Amino acid sequence: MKQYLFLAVLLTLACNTLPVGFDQIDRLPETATLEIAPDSADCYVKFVPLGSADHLLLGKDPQYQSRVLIQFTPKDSALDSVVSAQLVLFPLDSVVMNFTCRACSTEWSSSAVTWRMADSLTQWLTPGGDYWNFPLGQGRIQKESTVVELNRDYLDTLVRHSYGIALIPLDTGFATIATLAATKTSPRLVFTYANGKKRTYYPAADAHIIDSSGIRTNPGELLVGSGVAFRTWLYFRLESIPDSATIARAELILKIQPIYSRVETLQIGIHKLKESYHQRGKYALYDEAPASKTESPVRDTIATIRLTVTDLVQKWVSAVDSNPNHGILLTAEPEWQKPFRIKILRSGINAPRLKVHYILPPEDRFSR
Amino acid sequence: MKTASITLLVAISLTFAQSFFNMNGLGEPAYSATGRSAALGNPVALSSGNPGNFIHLSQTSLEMTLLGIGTIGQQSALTRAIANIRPATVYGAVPLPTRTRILLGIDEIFNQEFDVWSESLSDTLPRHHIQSRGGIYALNAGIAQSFLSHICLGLLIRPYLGGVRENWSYITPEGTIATDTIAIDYAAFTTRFGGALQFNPVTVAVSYDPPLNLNARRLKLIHGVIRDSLRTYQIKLPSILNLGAEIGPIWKIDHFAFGLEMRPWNQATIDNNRAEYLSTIRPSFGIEYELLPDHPLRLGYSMTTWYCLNSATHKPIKENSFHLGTGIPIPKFGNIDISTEIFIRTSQTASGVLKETSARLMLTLAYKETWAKRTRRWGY
Repeated sequence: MKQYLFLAVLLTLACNTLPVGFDQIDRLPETATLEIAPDSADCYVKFVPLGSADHLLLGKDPQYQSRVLIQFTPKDSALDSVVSAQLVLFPLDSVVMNFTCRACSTEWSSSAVTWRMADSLTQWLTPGGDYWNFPLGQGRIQKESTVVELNRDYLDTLVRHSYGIALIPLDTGFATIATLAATKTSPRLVFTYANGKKRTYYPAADAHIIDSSGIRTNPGELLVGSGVAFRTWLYFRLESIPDSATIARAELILKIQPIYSRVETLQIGIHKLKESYHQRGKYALYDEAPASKTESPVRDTIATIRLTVTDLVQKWVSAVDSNPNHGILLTAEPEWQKPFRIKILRSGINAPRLKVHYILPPEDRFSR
Repeated sequence: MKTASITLLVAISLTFAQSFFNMNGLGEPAYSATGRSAALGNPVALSSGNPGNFIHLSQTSLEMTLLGIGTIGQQSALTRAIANIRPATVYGAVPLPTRTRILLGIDEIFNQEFDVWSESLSDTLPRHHIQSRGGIYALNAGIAQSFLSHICLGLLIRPYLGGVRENWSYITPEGTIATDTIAIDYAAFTTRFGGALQFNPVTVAVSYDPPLNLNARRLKLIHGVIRDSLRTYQIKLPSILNLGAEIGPIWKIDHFAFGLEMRPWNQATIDNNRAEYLSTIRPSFGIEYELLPDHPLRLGYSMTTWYCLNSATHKPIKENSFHLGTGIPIPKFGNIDISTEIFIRTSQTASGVLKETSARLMLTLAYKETWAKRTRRWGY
């Protein structure tokens, strides 16, 4: 028992980090805390590809409209013997939604398709997608799966002269559908032949495209949002911090107010700009990987969120040549989340603030 | 076995540092000690560090000393332990036919190792964790000449070398965020004169280190990158005079050893500015008693006040030390000298007395060259 007591005493003495003798250092480095308001700020809206989303969103309301594009590659032989063509969809929620199916008339790319663009180089002739002017079918999303009987009269056009099927919402509201990434519940096209055989085709590509043309922005507000990307650029001047300072903590304090939300949790990220926003505007490149991100539950009132940007500010301060400060971009993280939009005031007590706590280098034992 | 393993683990986990006062001045002054002289209270003039202390040297000798230190610091009801283990000194002496001796060695002059944490501040501020490693060492090369078996005079050339690295870490609730480092390299060149006079049963010894100019070259590394230009300090250190007397055997006592070290630290300057250090005197007393044949028991005591003041209140740092040791012969090799010392240092700070109790274990492996006698038998 005594030996364990001895060990306990030894451990207590050895493993602690108590400040014994700390007052013998009379050359403690100076510390300071700054709270900086943005020197410049701007916000812009951009249609972003949503092909990497973990869901397909179908629906509309006065502010947003979302359409779904699904591309199948069925064989074009023996179409005459097809007695039934069915599109099968698996909803991810319980929203009931009527929709119509159209055959796409322009080739599109899931990695680049948006409301405006069919791929990275080609614009849709009509924003929201180019479709053949005949209905393939009409369906209603409900329950565990939805089966849409496609019009066989247009099967040849669908297979040989189309680039997939577009789902266009007819009701107000939003429903989510499983993507091709979900093995068991991915959308599928089922052909039934005269001999009773069935052939199932799985998507080669899918995406949804969202429009937000019904939104009017207030110049006094900065917006961050998903679906259609609302991005806010903030630039803070850091020249007052010595380049030898160690940034102990730097956090961006945002007072946000949701103005539209189809999500339960707001996910927001910060990206470091690699080019001058003054020169390149919304085309300025930024780091794909967020420097920081946070989650905040959706509330009706103004909420304060803090994003830690210590490493980023440290690089801006101490290695300004290799890390020029072009500011940061506030985005939804990821931007393919279901649509939400928050506002941040440009000025006043609710304007963004960068709070920096830094420490200057210590002196040596001979300095006076 | 399990308990021993845990004890060893705890011992290894102790923070590697030497003194809670080492942030002050040039750090803790070290003495030219071996296990034997440490056990007698560290009379430097009577140790192997004195080049004049080789009146009788018939065999090549080599002394290598390992030092282990465990220190407990107490301040404002807080207690913390630190520990250190390292080679301390190496001394070699080779006799030449003309009673001349060649001397070589390495010893420590100042130790600057410490490890301290700041108070736990509010969660918006970091804690400081400052660790320092290193010190100033002297390389010895010299010559001594013994006269008439009663007198010896010696001279050591002592280039000082060394360096220290202070790592300043900032610990936030998220972890260590950055470390700044202050690196200082030291260089100097000096000498040590020594002499001894022996008429049994009394030996009187003296050693003298003249004042020297220590060049301290400082670099600051901020976030791992040298961001500050070099700065060089010229530090003038005072002379050191060590006196020693050894009397014995008297009665059943092998030796009484007296030592006195004097350093006029008030003459020290840093870049020609007064360093505001205190002149110091360190008396010591020790006895050696042959408890068993070839197993001497040594006891000692010394006291001093550090040359530098504590930075918190500019009060002196007082030191008392108690010494105990023995020697164990190793057949056909020499002997091993063991000393244990307790140093008690106190100084008044704003938050109460900072008290440091430092236990040292010094092991000196002393090799004495033995000439094998060869006897040749003729015939059968």
